[in-house]
This record gives sequence, C-alpha cells and structure tokens, in this order.
Amino acid sequence: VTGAGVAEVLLDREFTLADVPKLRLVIAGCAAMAGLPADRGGEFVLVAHELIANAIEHGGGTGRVQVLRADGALLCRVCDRGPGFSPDVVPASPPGLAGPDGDEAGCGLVIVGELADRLDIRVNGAGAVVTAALAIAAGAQRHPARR
Amino acid sequence: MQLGDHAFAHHADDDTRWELPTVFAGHGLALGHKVVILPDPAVEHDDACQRVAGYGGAAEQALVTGQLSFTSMRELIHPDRRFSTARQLDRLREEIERARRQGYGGLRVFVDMAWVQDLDADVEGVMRRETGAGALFARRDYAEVCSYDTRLFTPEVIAAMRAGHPVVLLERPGDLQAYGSAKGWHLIGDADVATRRAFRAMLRSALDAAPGGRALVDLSRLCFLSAGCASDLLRLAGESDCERVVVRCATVQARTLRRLGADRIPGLVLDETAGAR
Repeated sequence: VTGAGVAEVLLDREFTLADVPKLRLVIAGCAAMAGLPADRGGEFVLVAHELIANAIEHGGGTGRVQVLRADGALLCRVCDRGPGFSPDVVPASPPGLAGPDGDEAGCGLVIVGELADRLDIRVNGAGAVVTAALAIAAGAQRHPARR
Repeated sequence: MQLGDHAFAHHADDDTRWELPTVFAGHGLALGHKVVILPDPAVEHDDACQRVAGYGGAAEQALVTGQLSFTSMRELIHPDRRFSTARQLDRLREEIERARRQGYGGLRVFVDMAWVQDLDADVEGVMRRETGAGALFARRDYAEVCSYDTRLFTPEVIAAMRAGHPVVLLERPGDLQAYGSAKGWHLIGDADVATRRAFRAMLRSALDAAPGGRALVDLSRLCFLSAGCASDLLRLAGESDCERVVVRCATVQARTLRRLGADRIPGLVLDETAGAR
C-alpha cells in the first residue's frame, strides 16, 4: 500500500497492552505532525488503536506498530504473531453487537474499514500484517510550522 | 485536559512519575501547542529527555524545533534565586506570549513539584500560588499540570493541593474510573482495550442502578472510546431493562456509536451536548 514512494518512518515500536495509552498519544502526535486535521487525526488514532487491540486480543498479545508517511497518506501498520486472518472476515457493515466477553463480531475492523481510505491485510511467516492508510489533504500544514 | 486547565497530579514511584509528562507532551504536540517540561531537578537533563521524548513519534522532532523543551524552576525564575509567586507568574506570562508569537495555539507546562525542595521554597507560599493563579488560565491559552511526589510532601499538603486545583488527574494515564451522581453515572479516563473489562462492569452497575428505568451514562469526560467499548455499551443498553438510556458524549464518540448501530437500539438516546472535545 505504500506504492512506489519512499516511506518516511514516524514511529516504529514493539508494544504490549501496557503501552496502549502512551502509544495513542504518540500516534496522535504523528498524525498532527503529518498534517492530518484534528478530526481526521482522531480517526487515525482510533484506527491505530483497533489494529493494536486486534493484535493484543487475537494476535499473540504483543506486536509492532509503525506509522509511516508515503504517497500522500499516513499509514498505520501493525504486525502480530497470531495465526493471521483473511480480508473476508472484515464485515462491510456493523455485523451486530459483540458477544459478552469480547470482540467476536469484529466491530473494531468494521470501524477501521469505514475510516481508512485503504486497508491491506496480509499474512507473513510470523503473523498478520495489517496496514490502514488515511489520505493527507494536499497542502496540509504540518506541526510544528513555527519559528 | 484542555487549555485553560490547571491540574493536580500525583505519583508515588519513579515509573508513574514519567508516564504523565510523556502523555502530556504527546497530547500537547498533537494539538500543535508548545510544551515545556520542568522535571525533578535531581534528574539529569538527558535522562529526562530520554524518558519523555525517547518513546518516538513527534517528540523527537519537537525537541529539535523547540516545540518541546525542558527547563527547571531555577532557570525559569533566573536571575532571581528565591521563588516568589510574582516572579514566576510574570515569567510564565512571558513564555505564553512567546509561544503565541511563535505561532503555537497555546502553551502547556508540566511541573514536577520537587522543585519546591530544590529551591527551599516556602510550602505555604506555593500553596497560595496554586490556589491564586486563576488569572493565568483565564485566556485559555495556557495549561499546567503540577505533579506531586507523595514521598516528598505530607499527606496534609497533598490533600490541600488536590483541593486547590480546579482539575484533578487520574494517577496513571490510561486509567478508567466511574462515579455516580444524582443525575447518573460518569466515566472518566480511557475506555480502550486495556480497560474494557472494567468499562463493562461499570456500565452494568450504571444500568442496574438506574432509577425508574431511566439511565444516564456520561462519557463526556472520557479521553478515548474504543470500538470494542462502544460496542459493549450498545449491547448492554439493548439488553438492559431500562426504557430509556441517555448517553452523554462528545461528537466523535457519537460518531463511533452510530457507526456501530446506535440508531438500532430502542430507547437509546445520544446526547451530544458535550460537544467536540
């Protein structure tokens, strides 16, 4: 999904459950730095959280998250160590509400599918690699644009 | 935490000590504000930078551009050597003006109150400053967190400082708490993958305790609502015996709830008066 352009790495970290609150804020900072407007930046953080949560709940409890800027888009890529899954499991619309103990209905991925401009799901030797991309509007101002 | 907020925070160990400034800096940078951290003066400058900015993301670049910086109370009030409220407030006003001139939307300052011992400042004077600094925040272009190490201050001072600040932060970023009032149940903090089980338990309590089958669940002070927690809320509201469940929430939370089917839950009302925060 990065196309032919060279990706600029804004964040590259391994994570566990304990990292989630801090990671969200750091990812929000990346979105602002990349020039996503506040609303879209909030949606990028939600997308990233759902991919991270998916890795924690279904992908072995840990993973690696990257935030990349490439081809006029901001990308969140999460790699986990789970069994992987097919794009077919992502429902096109809300599939009903989650069961009593978890996210069986895939509501997180529904949200990701709705908010992302592009979504790429692959399986490599180690686990799932999911990349969601949100377009950065042309001419977007980056923080910090000061001094 | 918004511009205009003057917040009390506390920590009791060295791990928690660094979590809040890290999150505080990340939040401020994301909003395009200037962020200044005044860490414990006993900590080496490089160590403090590494602890707060070493997590990656925008903070490393912000250190280079000056959007994020570290200083101390000693440096802030220089050339004065003794703390006085007047000198400190004057310097902070200057820093706010400088941040605005540089084009930032506001200034956010995190202060580890260990400086009080470092400057041998009068605790009573500091308490008066804390309770009398309201004018500094009135223009809503400045926010400040005062973080107290409970190992350095007496319980009486901690209690007074907590009461003297308009905003009190949860001890750890990422926590989730709930409290009941005559109006309903209010949730504060983060509803995410880490707190989801607690979120469900709090919601069950809120819905079970609803008087007359009418419940109010106030999400407006949540910093984050995940899709999983939103889905749990819809399911529990749909299963409850309440005839009417009002969810007070921010616009962004309402959007998530609607995407997951809130409009299909009978008796569920989204009250977006909490606005866009």
